[in-house]
Amino acid sequence: MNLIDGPPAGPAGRTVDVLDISDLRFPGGTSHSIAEEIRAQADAGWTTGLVHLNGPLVARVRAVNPSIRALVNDRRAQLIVGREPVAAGVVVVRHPAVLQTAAEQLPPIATDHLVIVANAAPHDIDGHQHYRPESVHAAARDRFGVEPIWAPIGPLVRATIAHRVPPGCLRSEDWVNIIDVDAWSHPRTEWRADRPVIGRHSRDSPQKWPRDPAVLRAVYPDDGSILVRVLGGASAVEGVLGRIPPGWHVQPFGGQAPRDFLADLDFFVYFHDPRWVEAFGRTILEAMASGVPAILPPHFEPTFKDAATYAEPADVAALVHRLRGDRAAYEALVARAREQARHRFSHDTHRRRIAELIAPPGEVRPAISGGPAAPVLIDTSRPAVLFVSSNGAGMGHLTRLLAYARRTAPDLAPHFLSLSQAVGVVAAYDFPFEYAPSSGATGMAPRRWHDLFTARLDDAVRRIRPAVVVFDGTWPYEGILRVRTEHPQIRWVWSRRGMWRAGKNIEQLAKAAWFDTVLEPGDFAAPFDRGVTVASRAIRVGPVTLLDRTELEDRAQARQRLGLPVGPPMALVTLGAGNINDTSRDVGASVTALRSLGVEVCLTRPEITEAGSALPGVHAIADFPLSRRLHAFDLAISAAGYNSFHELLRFGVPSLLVPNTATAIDDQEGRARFAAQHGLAHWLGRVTVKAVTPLLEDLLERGPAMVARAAALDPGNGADEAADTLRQLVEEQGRDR
Amino acid sequence: MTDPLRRAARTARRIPGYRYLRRVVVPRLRRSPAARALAYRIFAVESGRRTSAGGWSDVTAGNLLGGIGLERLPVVLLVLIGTPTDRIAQIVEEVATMQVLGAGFRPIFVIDSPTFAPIRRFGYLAELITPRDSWTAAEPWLAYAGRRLGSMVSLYGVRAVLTVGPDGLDDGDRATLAAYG
Repeated sequence: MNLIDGPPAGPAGRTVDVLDISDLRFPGGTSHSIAEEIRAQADAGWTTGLVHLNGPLVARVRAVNPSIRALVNDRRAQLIVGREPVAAGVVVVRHPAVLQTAAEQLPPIATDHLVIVANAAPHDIDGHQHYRPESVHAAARDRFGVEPIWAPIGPLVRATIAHRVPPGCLRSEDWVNIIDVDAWSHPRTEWRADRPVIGRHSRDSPQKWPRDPAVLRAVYPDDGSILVRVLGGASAVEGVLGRIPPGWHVQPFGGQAPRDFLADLDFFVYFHDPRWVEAFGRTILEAMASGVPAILPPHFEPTFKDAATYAEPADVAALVHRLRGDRAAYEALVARAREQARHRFSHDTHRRRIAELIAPPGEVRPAISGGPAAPVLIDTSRPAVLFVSSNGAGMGHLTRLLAYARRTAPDLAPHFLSLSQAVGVVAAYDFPFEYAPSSGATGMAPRRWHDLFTARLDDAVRRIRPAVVVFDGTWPYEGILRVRTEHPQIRWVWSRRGMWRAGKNIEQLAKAAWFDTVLEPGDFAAPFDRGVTVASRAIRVGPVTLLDRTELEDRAQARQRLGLPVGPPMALVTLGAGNINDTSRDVGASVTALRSLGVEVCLTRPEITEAGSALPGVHAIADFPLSRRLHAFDLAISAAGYNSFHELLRFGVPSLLVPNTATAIDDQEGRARFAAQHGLAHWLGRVTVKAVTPLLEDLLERGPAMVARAAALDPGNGADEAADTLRQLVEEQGRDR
Repeated sequence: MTDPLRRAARTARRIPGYRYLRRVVVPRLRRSPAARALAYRIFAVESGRRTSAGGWSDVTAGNLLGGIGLERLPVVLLVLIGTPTDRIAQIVEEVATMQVLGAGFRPIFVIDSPTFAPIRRFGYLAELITPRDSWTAAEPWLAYAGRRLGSMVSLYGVRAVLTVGPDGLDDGDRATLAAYG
């Protein structure tokens, strides 16, 4: 493939020429190779992005390799974090095992070219398979949408993967490591000692050393005839010889800069466990660039050709002594190694292979995004009510409390304390608010999180001095009881809806004893309620919605405000917030079916959804409260959570309900079944194009009749009754105090 | 004299199934909070949760870092009071980048506007403080803010507090973050 392209169009700050993907924490050659390629790309004028994946080969939390980190700090590469889309001219994945196990950490990436650098053989020394080329290939194709090209790092790896990748997907040339020869080169005008000095550097791993004691002693003598220097540790030698020979000079990994270490050697001698497939041997290349002749086992010859000298273990010492006695031959070897390094392993080598894929670079700009408005002033002249909401899957708890709060005005002064990060929506109603992170948001163990919640609630109560505290949630936190004990004069209200799953949450119901009043917002589907709340004592009010029907905008106005075209039929698809379960398949099927019927689609982006993305060709809206603009839609496909269900039915939107069955307590299926049985809506357990299409056709035709039936059932908005209840409690509290 | 621990490790490596255990079972145990909690109890190992302030520091490190030892990273409180909301995303992204590069700290962001999205993007903990110009309670705002920050320092075992100016991180802030990793 020789197409010359620029990077696909992408968001500002996340569009680069070359995107390197790897576990950037690797301590050795992989990271150094990435760093070297970044330098080559930057010198050529290409922008480089880096995406780090926490792969399986690094167990402990660890910093990015210093060589890469320095390049990011020098702005020669950009570390790209977050799940927003990235666009790149070419993507280079280094280490297939990382992609195999950590691909789910990737953001969406648009690219025309994908190179998988196989810098290690699939199997380890003991037969353990670190990656399956077949799986990696399939995963890469799915993830990036292009056919990956495999680029083995050398002939040995090529031999292990050639038969396992699809025909035509193997790069004809190896993706060899590169090096800046001038940066490593060190002049050698004299011998380092009165005897030959040989050395090696590598990770301190058994597979990096000969496993046979005789071979080890032959290659790295322990008799003092040759001085042996090791960088990277030699505990593996202990395992073979029982000790580290006393004459050896051993430094740990990182004990000295490799360049300085190599400068003190006469010969670089590198032999390893014969069972180990050394993919390339970056340290060998570094030695060659430094000007140290490399003496290697013959199997390295296809990789380094005449840039190195090859010998069997038994011949190494003799070869070292012979070259030590022939300075001219030694220097010829040094010159040949450097020349080969420049010719075959230089930055130019890398620039050529990148230039086969992409055109000269563009510029990258940083991205800046905004945020919602600040909270507003508190009114302290009226009795205060503190509304406390838990953080459910959606915004139901917060919205319900908001419905009560706005109806208590102007008599009372609502104040909000929420565990939901959507709490900022309260600002639109001029109510002050506070946020306390939930257990999930902190990462803290629940037992300790309760202390946090208790402290926050107690602090808020002491400052606001509410007459009434209203908690909306299905799991009252123990902090409520603890704070209540400290503030017995306050009236405590538990607002909890019905429709709990049958037999679920029984132990929570006993917590009604913590409260002075239990307030139950009604449910159209109450006849289908099989949960434990049915028989419990509560003040029951009508179904609660934030708005009344009279507050909705008309169709034209709503569409204009939402930026939607006025003419075509439009469906709202709102299948719940994205942080309970993945509804993307339902969404995809819904969109396909709606389009086939000539209906345009509007997807919601709930404020608390963690990761949502609009599908191409559909409208995406983020609005609160969306119910104000429901008349913009001719029909809806929606989950059957309390708020959505009652808003759609109350405000007359013909609906297909898709209950979210992953909720802990809420019996959405019961709600959906009720609506379907009474001709108020349709329902489906799971959306497929085949199943949903006839139901949508029916909604388009008979929707108005269904809406009329729902209207006949509606006893009115229970939020007004709830607000009355709160006013009464405030009055009682005032009398008692 | 060879270190007895090293001798034991060599012996262990020769046991059949050692490599399988090391590659498959050990990582699973390490990733299991329950197994680690059990180990802490059995061996009375300092878990890193208890802080000198008497609080706990098992707060999230966000979703960018991986590996064993996250709970031992120092917690850094970044106070973004008064920071323009359109700056927050940029600041958080810079902190996130530094966190990945150095793997040396866990950030907590203190904001005074509900700009949670750019913080939630990386799974970081956010704390919201009522801004001074919205504060009408009898208690002085400084007393309230100080008490809240003090509570966070204690509860989360905060090692360093950085007050980020309206222009974002300055070199002092960057140097402080870099000092941890």
